[in-house]
Amino acid sequence: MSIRTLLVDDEDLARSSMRQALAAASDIEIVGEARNGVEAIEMIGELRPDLVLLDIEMPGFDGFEVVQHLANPPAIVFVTAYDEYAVRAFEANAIDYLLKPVQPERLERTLARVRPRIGAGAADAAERNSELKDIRTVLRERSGPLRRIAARRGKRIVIVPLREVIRVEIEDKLVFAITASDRVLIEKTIGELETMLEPVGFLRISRGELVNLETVKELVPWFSGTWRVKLANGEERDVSRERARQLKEAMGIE
Amino acid sequence: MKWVLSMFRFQNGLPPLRDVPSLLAKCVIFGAVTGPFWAALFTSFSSVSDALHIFTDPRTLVCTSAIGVIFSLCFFIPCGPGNWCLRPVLAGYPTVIVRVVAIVYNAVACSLAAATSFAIITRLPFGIHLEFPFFPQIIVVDGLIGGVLALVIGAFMRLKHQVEESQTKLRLQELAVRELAMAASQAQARALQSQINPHFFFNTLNTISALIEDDPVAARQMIGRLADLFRYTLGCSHADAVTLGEEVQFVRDYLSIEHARFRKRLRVHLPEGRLPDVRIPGLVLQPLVENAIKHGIAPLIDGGSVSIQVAPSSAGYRVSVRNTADEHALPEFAAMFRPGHALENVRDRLRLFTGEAEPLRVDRGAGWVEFSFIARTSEARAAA
Repeated sequence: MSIRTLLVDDEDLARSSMRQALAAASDIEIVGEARNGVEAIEMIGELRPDLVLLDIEMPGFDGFEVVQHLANPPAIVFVTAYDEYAVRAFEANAIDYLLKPVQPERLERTLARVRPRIGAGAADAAERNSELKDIRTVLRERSGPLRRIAARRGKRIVIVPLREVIRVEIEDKLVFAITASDRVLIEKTIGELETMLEPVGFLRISRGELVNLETVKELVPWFSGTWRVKLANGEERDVSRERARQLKEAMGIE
Repeated sequence: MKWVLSMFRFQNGLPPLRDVPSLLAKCVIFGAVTGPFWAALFTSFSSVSDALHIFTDPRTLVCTSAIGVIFSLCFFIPCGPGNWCLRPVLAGYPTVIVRVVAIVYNAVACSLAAATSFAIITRLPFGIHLEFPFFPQIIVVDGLIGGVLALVIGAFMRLKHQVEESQTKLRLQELAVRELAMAASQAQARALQSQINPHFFFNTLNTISALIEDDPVAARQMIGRLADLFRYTLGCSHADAVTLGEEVQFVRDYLSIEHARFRKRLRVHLPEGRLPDVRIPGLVLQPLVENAIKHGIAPLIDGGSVSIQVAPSSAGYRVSVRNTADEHALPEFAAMFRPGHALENVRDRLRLFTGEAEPLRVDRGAGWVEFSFIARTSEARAAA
């Protein structure tokens, strides 16, 4: 059984070097190559590879951000030329990584660790998810708070700075981010988004809605304990009774 | 006066042999000059006009001078060498013992010297016949004077020695402080010395590794360039400053390596032609370019451009590095200079070099950011 592999690196030469190194492993089938974080997210979604060799420093989204945007991620091996902090974090959390230039014996050792996990089923997927949680912690410590998010407009992935997002809403079980001029699809559940965005100043105001606290202009008492917020783009949204307290706290009112 | 006082300067034991003639000469001159005054002093006890006569009559003047010389030699010979010999012998003993021995010795030496000199002088046929009715008393008084002189000179020497010692100590301390300060600023400059960024180094190794099979010629070329970069970096750690031309050439080499990685995502504009002959600290321009690539161009999917410009300004030349950047992603001015970060390093070294508080200027606009500093001409730097 071959392992369907995606190479992600912004440098042509780095990818060709990786391709050369992987030629020795007969069970690796390279199904695609992505040149930046946006392409990586797109191609992982389309190709559903078993394994992603993911460079960290890339334009668009870096390797860590790419992982953040994967709902059901494949096995991931990070690749870096030099990133002391990341390498320490990988070591501490037993996350697979490779150093560039890739040495054949190190590559083989890493592949040997990855192989049993590929196609191992649901139990393993849960394990992988907890592993990714570790990666996310690493990311937050390393690159600070999340600043942008991947969204989909038609077939294309676009980068949306979080500062521009006014609110997030659900419509027909799909999650949309609303900016002053745009409304884009985000391939995540509202719960996932809540955990991602809460640390950067977003708040869940009802079951189906998150608002960017930066854009809240007015807070008006409404009926029977509920409140109403006026947003920067003129919209008015209702805040459920149980969320109102949190909102006022977050705004520093109570 | 100082010259005469130098007769007494023998605190370090025996004077060198070559100093003995000059000491004797000083002694003779001292005696010759003071002789008439001593004679006048003694004569004035009986007759003031006789005392003044000594200075008006040349013959008497010469005679009293000669007597002075004999007196001086008579005191100098027992007291001088004796003290020189005593000094090293007594060096290890407590001060009290040294004092007592010195006073006793000098008292005895002075009495002896007085006796000898009077004996010689009174028998010399100089035509002046001096009567000394209280000869034994004079000897005793001279001995006392010798002892007191020994005490006073000893105390004076000791004080002088202490003052000199503390002055020396102070000078040594000052020297040590200055040396420390110098070492500190050198260490600071060394610590600040920018080095080849490890990210860049490992990325280049990776590029070379990829090229080896596909394009061995390019791989070899790149190894050569990397070697040049290292040589330049090492050279900079020995030199205070480099010419702008050298630094720009270094940036050119550096960019040619980066270009192999970024390909058409990296567009470069470097100054053409001869550059003005100004000096800047080594490795300040390259980190700015590296910063431009790392934080400005690398995060952009389509890449961007970096340009170096050199324009005349009032104090010399303004050297600027401008690059494409997502202006929304740029940090605040203060946040750009993080400890240990290349920009802070560049700013600190420019500060050490120029003495300006804010040598690095940051300008920004829609889609670009620019770092610049003034490279002063040597005249402008001398004036400052």
